[in-house]
Amino acid sequence: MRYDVVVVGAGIAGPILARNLAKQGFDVLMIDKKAEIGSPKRCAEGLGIGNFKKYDIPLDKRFINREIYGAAIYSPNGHKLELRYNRVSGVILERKIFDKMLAYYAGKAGAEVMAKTEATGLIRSDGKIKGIKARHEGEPLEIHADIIVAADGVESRVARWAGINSFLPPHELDSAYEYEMILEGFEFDPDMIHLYFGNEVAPRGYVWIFPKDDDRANVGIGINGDNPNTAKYYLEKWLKENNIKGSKILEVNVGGVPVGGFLKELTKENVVVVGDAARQVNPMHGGGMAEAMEAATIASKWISRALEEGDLSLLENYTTEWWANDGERLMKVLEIRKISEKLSDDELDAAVQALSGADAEKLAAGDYRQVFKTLIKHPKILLKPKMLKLLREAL
Amino acid sequence: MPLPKVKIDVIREKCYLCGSCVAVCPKEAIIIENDEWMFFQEKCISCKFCVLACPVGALNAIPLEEE
Ligand SMILES: Cc1cc2nc3c(=O)[nH]c(=O)nc-3n(C[C@H](O)[C@H](O)[C@H](O)COP(=O)(O)OP(=O)(O)OC[C@H]3O[C@@H](n4cnc5c(N)ncnc54)[C@H](O)[C@@H]3O)c2cc1C
Ligand code: SF4
Ligand code: SF4
Repeated sequence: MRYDVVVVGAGIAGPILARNLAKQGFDVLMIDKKAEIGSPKRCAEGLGIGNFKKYDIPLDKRFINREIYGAAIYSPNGHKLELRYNRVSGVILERKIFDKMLAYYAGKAGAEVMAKTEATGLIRSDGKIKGIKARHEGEPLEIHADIIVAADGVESRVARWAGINSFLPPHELDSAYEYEMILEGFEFDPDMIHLYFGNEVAPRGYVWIFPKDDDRANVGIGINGDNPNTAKYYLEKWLKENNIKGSKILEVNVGGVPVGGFLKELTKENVVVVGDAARQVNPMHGGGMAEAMEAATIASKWISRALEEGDLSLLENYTTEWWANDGERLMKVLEIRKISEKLSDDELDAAVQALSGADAEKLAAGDYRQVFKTLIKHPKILLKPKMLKLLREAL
Repeated sequence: MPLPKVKIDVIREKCYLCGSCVAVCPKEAIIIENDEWMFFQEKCISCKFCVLACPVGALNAIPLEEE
């Protein structure tokens, strides 16, 4: 088998990249080890509404569970900060259908797609990477390609095979556990996502409720990966403390989220790394779908140029362009995360209280300077020298 | 100073094959292939990162006698 490009992984990054290249007439094969692309889901399924237009994805109701109008943030002692828009700000997806439809769009654009096909190694000869070894139902396959794309998610092995050091120490991983469940006797506004913070609630992370019905939601947690307790332990504890019976659980979703920084080198020779495999995730909230789409878009542009001009060194422009844009933005977000994770419960309370008086629209738009300015002026914060120092550093 | 040598054991019934342990292993001593969790003692440096990172606590580090 011979292709211009072989893509390993049909999550988010893989299908967007495969679609973009197939549209331009390149021969693309995308493989995924899953028998059913999209399943199981390891996701809370929240995606900002702007991404559909930006990445040319139809708003197909088959994968949109519901529309969301903002977020509510809860501090450890129950202060609430509501960031509500008067228009749709995001959606809760059905990722099992979404991933499969993204693969469908790639296929429609001309890419070949093979589910239940697992990459097991690289084909090397004359000191060069020539393709991917894979297995389909136990049958070994040799897939030759000019360019190999590692879109194989957090557990990525393809990048490591190519000699890219994508090892992720446990403190750079968020360990996550989630139930899709019916929440009985627990009130929540199904038009908003709900985020609960606190060092006892979710060390370094938060508990989320991403509604899928009036009474059904993805209820999950992410915590620092080097925590001696498990994510499951903290989620069970939170449910119990909130008198939520876990007696109507429809799914258990388990996974890791890379939140500690991004691959410095996104390519090596003819191997290109995108999405979770490249650690391209927002380190503040752990969302990685939009980031995977952005990386796939930039990568597909430079893969196409490299193939057209027969010059693999052009691939390095993907690293340069990504780092100059999303990379720089996300590094700032990472700095902020590193500050916020040091806050005590008391300081978190003060921060949420202070922010509930701020310009919610600006906050919701992610204007972090606005957040800091508001915080710095607040009397409760002024009384906390450590926090003031942290904020000054950030500004 | 070498770390006390361990063997990593998985409780298969608890494991979701989520790959978190694969991601945090510095030595590729754990892989998931063909829906199977696999451990390679000869590669393991006994750092126990995998045990920490598992979201469900499916992994245990069993002390090994030094040869
Ligand atoms: C609990 C949880 C909740 C989350 N919630 C959100 C959220 O609400 N919003 C958001 O934006 N992000 C969220 N994320 C993050 C988001 O899921 C990821 O960032 C996103 O899926 C990354 O896309 P990807 O294409 O890089 O990788 P993935 O979607 O992980 O896709 C990788 C694919 O590669 C395949 N694969 C792996 N190895 C091989 C191999 N050897 N051969 C063949 N195929 C292989 C896998 O089967 C998989 O299908 C969450 C993550 C977790 C764990
Ligand atoms: S981290 Fe835990 S649940 Fe995930 S694959 Fe490893 S042992 Fe299994
Ligand atoms: S103890 Fe360390 S080296 Fe051994 S399997 Fe676990 S993470 Fe890998």
